[in-house]
Amino acid sequence: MKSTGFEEILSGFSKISPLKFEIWNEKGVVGSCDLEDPYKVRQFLPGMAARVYAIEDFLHEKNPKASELFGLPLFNEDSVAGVLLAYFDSSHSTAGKDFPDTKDVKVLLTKIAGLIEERWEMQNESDTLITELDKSYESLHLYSNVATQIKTLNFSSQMILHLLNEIKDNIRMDMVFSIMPDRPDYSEIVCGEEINIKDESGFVASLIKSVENSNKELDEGYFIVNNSADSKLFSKLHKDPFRFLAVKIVHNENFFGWLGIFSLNMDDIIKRSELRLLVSIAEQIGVVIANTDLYHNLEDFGINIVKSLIVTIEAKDVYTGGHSERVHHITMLLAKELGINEKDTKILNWSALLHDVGKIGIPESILNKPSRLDDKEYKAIKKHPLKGAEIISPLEYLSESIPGVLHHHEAYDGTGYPSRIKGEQIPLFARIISVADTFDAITSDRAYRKGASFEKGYAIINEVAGTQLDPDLVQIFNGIYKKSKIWQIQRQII
Amino acid sequence: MDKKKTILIIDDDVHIRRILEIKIKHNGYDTLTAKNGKQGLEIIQNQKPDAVISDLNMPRLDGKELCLLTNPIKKDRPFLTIIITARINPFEQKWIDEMQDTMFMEKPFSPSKIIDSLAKYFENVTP
Repeated sequence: MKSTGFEEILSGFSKISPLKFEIWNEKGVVGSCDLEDPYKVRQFLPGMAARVYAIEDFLHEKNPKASELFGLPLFNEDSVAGVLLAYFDSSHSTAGKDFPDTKDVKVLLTKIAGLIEERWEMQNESDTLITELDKSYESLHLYSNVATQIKTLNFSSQMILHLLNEIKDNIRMDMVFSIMPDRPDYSEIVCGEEINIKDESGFVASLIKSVENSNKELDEGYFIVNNSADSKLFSKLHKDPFRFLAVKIVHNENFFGWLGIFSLNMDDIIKRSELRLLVSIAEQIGVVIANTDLYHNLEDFGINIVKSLIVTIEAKDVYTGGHSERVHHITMLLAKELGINEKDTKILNWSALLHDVGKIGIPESILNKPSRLDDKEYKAIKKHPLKGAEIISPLEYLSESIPGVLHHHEAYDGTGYPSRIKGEQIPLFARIISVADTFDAITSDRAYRKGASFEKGYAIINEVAGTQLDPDLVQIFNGIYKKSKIWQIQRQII
Repeated sequence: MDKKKTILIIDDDVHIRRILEIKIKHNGYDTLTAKNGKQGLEIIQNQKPDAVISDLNMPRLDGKELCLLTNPIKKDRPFLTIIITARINPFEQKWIDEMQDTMFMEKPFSPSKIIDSLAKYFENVTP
């Protein structure tokens, strides 16, 4: 039973009136007033309380010791939550004091009971409000999390996983899943500890299949099962009854998949608020995926432009035709030998292809000048790594490839450009490209000279190891040069 | 049996105080409340709560100042501080990292996550 908050007031009443008050529930006294009991009247109270509980109405009794006992049930949400007892010890009465009139006692008790019940009602209301408020806070928190993720352009499987976990904790589900047939990256399932399903993805697939086979119109974009035991289709999917909700993830008529929640706790049902929350999260996921797709399209577009830039620069610089591709080829051989992982190889791949893209901004008259360059012209040429970095910097996809482009003309001894950094300060990818670039520059024809032989190129590379080039990388290059036949492959490309 | 842990809630918004108070009481803790950092500081010094949940932006001593003032106490008497704030920026993160037993929660916060954090903290500090 809830506290009445009236114990102190009743205790005060007891002190100044001949009536003593107590509040009882099924277990015993909860709001006692005066436990001193010189006339042993309190022994009759348990029976009295039980009888009031039983009849759920006002009761007036006289006990063998000629005490007067009164009882009134206290209602909380239509059931008796306690009884208000009052007693008057007749032996205690002194001359001139009559027993109080039963009617008057009843009126007084009814008034007090009314106050207690009103207070309980307010407490109930306040509890409900606070529970609701608490839930709104959780939803708001979840929703703001989703909203933050929507701003991102690169939605990832990790983000989906994070989101599903948030939903699971937030609305206390046993399982939350997102299933997108065409996007395995975004298909994830998270389970609580209570759940014991061996093949989770198989189970979720069967759930979704049953939804799609249920022949129900899914105009609303969601499907609810509040008790699987009621459905032939769903009861056979799991040994225990369950409830679940699946919401379509759609954007502009494009169907991506399903977002679902699943619970084995049958004491509750899927609430309207949970449905609304899930529907809006699914909508947002749809938007994010559509955005991510658009972004990737844009990236692809950007990359294609950059690729065409390479072709343009190759066309501009008539003498270095195929240079970017040859440097790229040698770089990849070095990367393989160095055991560079897949992700970094991808980054290096773009750096190598694009290392000279900045030459697009250098006048053809300088690039193709058949004689030695003067200082001013040489200065212009030296700007190409920086220009290249500037060209690809708007493409986030290529952001990690920038250092390789920017620093491929740094020298190991610090005499290169543009940053004049040396040794390990030069990003590894730039040092790798530098080896490949140097070899190809020596061995291919230039505006002002014929290309040297591969043997000569190999010799020069080893001469500048330690000054211009990273000596360790030159060693790796030597290994490749000896065992693979770079020059043959080179010739094929030419 | 363990003594009930006492959690101090500091926020100038009465509704946030109330919701946290009820939620935390429901989970078996005792609560104390303060309307601003100054009041909170006095309670921390006098009544030694086991954890403090405080808003960052408050009149009369904000959450950061409160942390700076109470951090030296934590050496001898460690207690958890949860700072509730709007979006955290790296600058904010830095000073929070420098405090002992201090963490932040972003607004809108999740009441159940606060409960989880309290439980986790007490689980770790109780020998």
